[in-house]
Amino acid sequence: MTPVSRSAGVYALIVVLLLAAPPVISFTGQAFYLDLLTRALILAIAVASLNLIVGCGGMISLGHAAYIGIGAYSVGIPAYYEVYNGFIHLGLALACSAAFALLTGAVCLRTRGLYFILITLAFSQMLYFTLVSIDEYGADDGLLIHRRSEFGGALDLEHPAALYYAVLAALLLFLFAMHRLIHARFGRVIFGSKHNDSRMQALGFDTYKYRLACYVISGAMCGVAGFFLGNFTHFISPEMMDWTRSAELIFMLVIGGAGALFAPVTGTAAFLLLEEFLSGWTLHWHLMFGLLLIALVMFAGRGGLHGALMRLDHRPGGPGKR
Amino acid sequence: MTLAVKNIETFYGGSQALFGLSLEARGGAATSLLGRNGMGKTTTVNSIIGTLRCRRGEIFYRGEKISDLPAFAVAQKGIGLVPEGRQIFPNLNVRENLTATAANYNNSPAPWTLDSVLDLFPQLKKRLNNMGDQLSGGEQQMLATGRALMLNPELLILDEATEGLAPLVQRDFWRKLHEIKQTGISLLIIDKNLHELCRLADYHYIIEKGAIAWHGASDALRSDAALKARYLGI
Repeated sequence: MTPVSRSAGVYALIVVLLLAAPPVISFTGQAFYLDLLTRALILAIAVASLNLIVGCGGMISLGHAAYIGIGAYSVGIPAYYEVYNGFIHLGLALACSAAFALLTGAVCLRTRGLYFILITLAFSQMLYFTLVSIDEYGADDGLLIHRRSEFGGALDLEHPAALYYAVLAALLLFLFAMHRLIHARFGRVIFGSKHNDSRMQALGFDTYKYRLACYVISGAMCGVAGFFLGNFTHFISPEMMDWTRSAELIFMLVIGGAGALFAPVTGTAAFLLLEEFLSGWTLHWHLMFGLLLIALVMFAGRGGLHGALMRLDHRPGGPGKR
Repeated sequence: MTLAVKNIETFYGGSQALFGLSLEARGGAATSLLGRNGMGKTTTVNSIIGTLRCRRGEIFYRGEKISDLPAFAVAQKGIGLVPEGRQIFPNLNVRENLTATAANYNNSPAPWTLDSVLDLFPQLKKRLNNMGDQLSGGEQQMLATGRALMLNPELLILDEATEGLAPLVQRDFWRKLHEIKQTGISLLIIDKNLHELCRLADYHYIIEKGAIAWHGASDALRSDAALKARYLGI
């Protein structure tokens, strides 16, 4: 019988806990925690999409929050014109974020390393300032969304548990799709290209096209996170796509362990829980938060929380190396 | 003629590395490229496979000009490379290194498969789930060669084919190269083992300061001590 790794057991337990969370929270009457979990799962989708390009492809983007903004505005702008059809919102989020990723990725991916980071940052800031300048859509102040996206009778996002389960389903679906993608030839080419692009080209692969496809998939996924965030907060503003939000996504990914499939979930949860509990504890929480984040990254070592869990597998009694 | 390199001049920035270099590799034959370190052997290989663009001159493969093509398109024409230093993907396991890039661009009727590569290099069978950086030098060389064979190339280029390998491993690897040659694949080999090269290759080119200084058959090279001393330091 194949031994089950401790890390796989931990991840399975997390999924079970996530599935059981709404009724348990409802029973305890602490609705705030369902909001916190919903927010964490939405950001986990965004971090998962970032994981695809950073963890698998080595493309470190400092502009990924732009796709959150695009997804959120895909809900907010139609809602401003009293269009609440969820299929239209979701379609717009996917199409607009994919199109933005295609246009910007075509330029960004001509560069590498620091230049890639700077160009992704520049594109996202261009979008940020464009939206800041449009008074019609609230400029700096943003827009209120009075009703959440409507999917007929199939799904009522106004219900917090329904929204939570929709987000969780999307996250699990994306993680499954990513698992399939990175274990297919497409993912192997992206992995190989991350390590040695010219070798991968000399083996017959136009890696630029592969990386661009990966970038577009990642952007579209992140757009869905924005779609959920807009619905969740009932509010959109350019602040959603500020570069500091992009940096936070990277932090969440590093804490979880870039490249590991489940890292977005653990990284995002660790980040938000720390932020939440410290801010309720002291006014000077930013200092503590910074120090704890540094400690998490340092002590979790290479691979973040996932790396720490993997080391559990290699301790006596664990199933050992794969 | 499988490969024809005609008067190529290749530069690194402003520094010229190849000065009108020409060579040919015949179909089904093995050709060697010899020369001391820094003479331009790897630059020649990189110019052929398209990772370096030659500024002047032309390269033809099966009569088709390939010197303007990007590296991936050159590989798709049927040129495989076992690079110097092997350049195994360390973040992929052995099986993935072999299969992730496998292709049959030339519709070979009897393509190389994972099984046929493992038959050629049985040592890799036990290592299929090891990551690329968990292999010995010999295993890495087998893997790099297997990876190139999985592209089903008609021309296989090996840059420093046995560099850094233990003598016993080298001897085994040369035997494998004879087996590969017998399958009809053309070989262009760079190595320093003149004795083995003279046994395997049908024709030799000696490169000196970015240009071909001598070319000829194995017998002529083997018997000319002055030539070997002058260009190869043997």
